[in-house]
Amino acid sequence: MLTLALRHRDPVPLEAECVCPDRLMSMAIADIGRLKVWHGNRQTELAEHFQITGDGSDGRVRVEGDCSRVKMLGSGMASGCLLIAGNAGMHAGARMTGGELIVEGDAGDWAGAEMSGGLIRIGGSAGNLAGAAYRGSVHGMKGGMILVDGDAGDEVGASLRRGIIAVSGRVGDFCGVNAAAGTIVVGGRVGARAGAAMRRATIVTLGPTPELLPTFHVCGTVSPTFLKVLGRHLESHGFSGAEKLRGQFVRSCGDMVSLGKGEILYQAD
Amino acid sequence: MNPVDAFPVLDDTFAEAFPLTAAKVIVTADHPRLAISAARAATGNASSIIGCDAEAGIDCELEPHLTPDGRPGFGLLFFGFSRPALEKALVSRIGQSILTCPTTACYNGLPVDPDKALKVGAQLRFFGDGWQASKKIGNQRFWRIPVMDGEFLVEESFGTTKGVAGGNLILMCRDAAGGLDAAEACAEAMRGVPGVILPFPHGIVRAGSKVGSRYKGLKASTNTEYCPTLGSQVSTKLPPGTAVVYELVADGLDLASLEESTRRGIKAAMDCRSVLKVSAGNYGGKLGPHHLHLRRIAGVDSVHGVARC
Repeated sequence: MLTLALRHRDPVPLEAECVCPDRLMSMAIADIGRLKVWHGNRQTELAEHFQITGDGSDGRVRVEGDCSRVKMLGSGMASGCLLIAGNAGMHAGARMTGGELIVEGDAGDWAGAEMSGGLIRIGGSAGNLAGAAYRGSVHGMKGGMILVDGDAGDEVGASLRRGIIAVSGRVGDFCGVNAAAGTIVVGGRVGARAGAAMRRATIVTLGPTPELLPTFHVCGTVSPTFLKVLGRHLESHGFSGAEKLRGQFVRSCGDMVSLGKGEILYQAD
Repeated sequence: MNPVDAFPVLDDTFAEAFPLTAAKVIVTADHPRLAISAARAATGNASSIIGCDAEAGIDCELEPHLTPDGRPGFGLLFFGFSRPALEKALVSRIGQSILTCPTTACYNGLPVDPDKALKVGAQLRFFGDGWQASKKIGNQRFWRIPVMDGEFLVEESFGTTKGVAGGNLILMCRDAAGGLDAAEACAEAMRGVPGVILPFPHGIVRAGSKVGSRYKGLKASTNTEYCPTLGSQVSTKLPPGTAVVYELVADGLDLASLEESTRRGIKAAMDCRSVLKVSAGNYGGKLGPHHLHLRRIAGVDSVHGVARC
């Protein structure tokens, strides 16, 4: 395993998109240290910011220290395992296509934005726009899975196209806004305007009954079989509360201002 | 009766098996009684590839913790001449017999090679008339099809493997009741091997067939050499005193399973007092590449192999 220990806690953000297991696995430590990273408006070398030890040929990288100001960790990664033993900054795992990214602490905004494969596990909370589309993009997350043990901010899964986002805690406003497909599971409270303009996606809330937009229409009480399959899948990844997915849900369809084939499922009394 | 004649004879012959494309389907439901109804319907009229679109049977009952959705279920095996033929049979059988049964869902039970997968859910989804929805969980894609009690969930693709069909045993028995008991015991033993089904009703065949007929257009007709009532009118393969003959036909996901099933079947049959002779059907080695030699599988090298079987 390759270990990168952060040398400082500089408030100036560092953009370290080169920290990807698949990129580092075939490189010597000296070469890794010479990789270019932006520190504010200054291009620097990775070794200036991280003490680099070990061997990444097994595709495993561990990042130590509070990296809440280090952006783009694991962005674009395709394979291997990146463990961030602390917080991660913005864009962690953005546009990743495979592999596993584990953030033991909190992750900043845009975690897993536009990702198309792989697994992101966040032990703390995620910021805004997890799995979302960047401004101007048609689609957000297109595959893979994001698991958040804590809470998540606003616009989780904005323009979601495919994949699974599961948040154990609560999420902010506009969850699944403009989503085309995919699944979002929320263990706690869902903020305002969930599913606004969504077309086909599924939002499942296991917490309090959400405040629905008037353009969502209740379509009965159901116990969808796919939620049972999803529950077992999430259980296999250690997602807490997944057993509730076997229960009865009120199905609310929408958003009728859009295609209207999406659904918000919330627990029946 | 000579004491040695009290023991069954294990014929020095072989069952001739041949490769067929196989698929495994897992059907679940809210209650086992619904799952078994769907399983029986889906595997019905699938005794012989000669006259049916597939050979099929129930492989095993699955406890809830072993199914994809945590509900009770059954594993079903289907065998067809080719992947296109099996795909057509599965779409038809799942569509008519599982989709229609209350609360059921249907999953693939074999690893999926995209180049050899059967597009089952991918075709059945059109029953949703535009209201179907797909969900990708892990590497598997599912289709949710709205139906009158909620929705039917079916996996998009089903894996295939090269199975082995045509394993068989023929029991020649001295009396009707004892012969049926022997056949039932034999069938029970044979289907106890995972990955093996006995596609005929109750696992037992009473109408063994031979290739061809005196009537034009018939591919098969009754196997006169094994009909006790014709013993004095045609050439016969039955030992004197045979009252009934039953055949056990088995298909397996692989040759090893089929051989183990055959071994258990031989042992069960040789333990039955009614059995005069245990044999097997073949076509002289012209039909299939897999020859299940009874004595080799049973581990005996003599006619009366009961003690060592």
